[in-house]
Amino acid sequence: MYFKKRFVILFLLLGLAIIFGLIKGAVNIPLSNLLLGDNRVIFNLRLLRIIAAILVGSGLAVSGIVLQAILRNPLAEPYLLGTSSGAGLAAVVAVIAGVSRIYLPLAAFLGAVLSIIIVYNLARERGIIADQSLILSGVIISVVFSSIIVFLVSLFGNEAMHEMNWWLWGSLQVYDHKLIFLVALPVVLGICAIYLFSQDLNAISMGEDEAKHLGINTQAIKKILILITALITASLICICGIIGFVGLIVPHMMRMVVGPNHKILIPLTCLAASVFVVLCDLLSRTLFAPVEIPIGVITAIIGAPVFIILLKKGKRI
Amino acid sequence: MKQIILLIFFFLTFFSAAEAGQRYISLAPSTTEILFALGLDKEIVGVSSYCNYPPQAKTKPKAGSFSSPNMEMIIFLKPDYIFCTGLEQAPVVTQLRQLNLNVYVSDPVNMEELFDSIREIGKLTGRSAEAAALIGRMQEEVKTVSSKAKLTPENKKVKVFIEIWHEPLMTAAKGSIVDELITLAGGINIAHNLPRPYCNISAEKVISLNPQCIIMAYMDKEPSLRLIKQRFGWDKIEAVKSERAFNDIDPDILLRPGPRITRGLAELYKRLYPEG
Repeated sequence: MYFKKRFVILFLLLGLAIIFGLIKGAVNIPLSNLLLGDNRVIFNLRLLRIIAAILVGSGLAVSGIVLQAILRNPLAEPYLLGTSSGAGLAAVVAVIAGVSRIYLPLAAFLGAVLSIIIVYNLARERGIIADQSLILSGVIISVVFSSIIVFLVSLFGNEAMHEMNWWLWGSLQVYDHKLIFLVALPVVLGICAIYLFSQDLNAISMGEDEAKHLGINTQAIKKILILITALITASLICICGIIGFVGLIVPHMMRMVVGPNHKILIPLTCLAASVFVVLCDLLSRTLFAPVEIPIGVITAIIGAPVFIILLKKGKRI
Repeated sequence: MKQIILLIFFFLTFFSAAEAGQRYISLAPSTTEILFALGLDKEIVGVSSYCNYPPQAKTKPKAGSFSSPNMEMIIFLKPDYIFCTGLEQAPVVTQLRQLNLNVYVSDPVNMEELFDSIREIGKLTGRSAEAAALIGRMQEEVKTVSSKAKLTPENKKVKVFIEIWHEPLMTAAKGSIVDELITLAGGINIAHNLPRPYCNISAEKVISLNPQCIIMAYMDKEPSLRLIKQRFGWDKIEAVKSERAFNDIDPDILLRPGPRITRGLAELYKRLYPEG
């Protein structure tokens, strides 16, 4: 019952956030005019951004939950597997090679997938993925790829640099509805698939040996889950670059609020993270309009204090 | 006959109506200056927050910053044409085109391309005559300087180092418009042969190339010589010895490919050849 109440509250919050996101923006248009004539385009733009925000929020947060659970590492986050630098590197290479900008999301996606494959294979030893080696290979690949990006930037200058900045800062300015729906598919399916594993996640997060005793094939499940989160992150990165904090902090916040049962945690986190990102995006585009503040800045500035308050409160209890 | 007259009449009213209602957004400081120079004050409905000249530009609605303009604002302003620049704005241009907006990219790398660009903008905005007049004036100004500069014998030509930024040390090479300005002003750009138009350069290299004049193309309150003398080893450079380092040319007229660049050229000539 408790769960249902929270579910309803978060759902209402999301509804409110969406409504605010639709009626507020860089330009002030009365609600009654928003659906009329030319203003329709602006309404659609806002709607696209909100859809992107919801996808990014829930996708990153759920990936964070999964990685934190299976690696039993509180610092695990969606970009752990080197996806961000892989995507960035591929985008920079594509720009330098003169590939049309329309194909950049595809390049970024391929780059992210490539980095995941490398990290995964580096970490695998005799068919087993050790948690530590996965984290370490992720860090190594990130560092190497980032260095190659900087190397290319110093060789080719401007073009590469602007591309790099775009990926590093992250942005929800996606105006290509086809691309969003293309990305929505793996993200939504991935989240659903992860939800089916929530019972196994409960067991694995307690400890691998305990999970094995419960008859769970931990290695297989870990591999599947790592691949699903990687696919979600890679898809998201190609529409919005890197948006930090969401995948790291929101799962922890929700764990403090609703407890570690993944059956409850996953759906509630989806909602909470969507609300969080939609509101952060709203702030990013209205605070200093018409200049936009990169959304990563807002997620960190708002997320950090909330997280610290929850952390302190949790300790007292 | 009657039909033809009607048709002509129809077209005339149609075009004049279209002309009157044109709305332009300029997202680059250089194109903003060009549009204003063509007398399109009323037609400009939005600029970027970087557009600082002419003063009227500051009163126009802001459509976001240079590298990330606000799409919502742009659509709201209902532009017929949006003027941008290349490179830095490439991601923006793609986004604008995805939204089915008309975009003109002006990215001249030399004076000839700048004139072409102004001509093209004049054509797009129905100000071809004004554009031709502007180009004529600018060509005249270029000629005034370059004809004087041509009289300088080859062995008297001043070796120039143009400092675009200090940390890291950056300069301009061939393929940049300011490199052409140096040549037009009768100078020799010591960095002419570097591989990229805007390129990093080591302090060592600058010292070894020993420029006779240093132009710093950024604003600093400190007097230029004091800044440069603090640098280790730079006191050996001829420009420093003869106290010919300058940071008093407005970078906006020297680096910005707009109507004022010919004034930048004249200023540059004065720094290189103060005796006239």
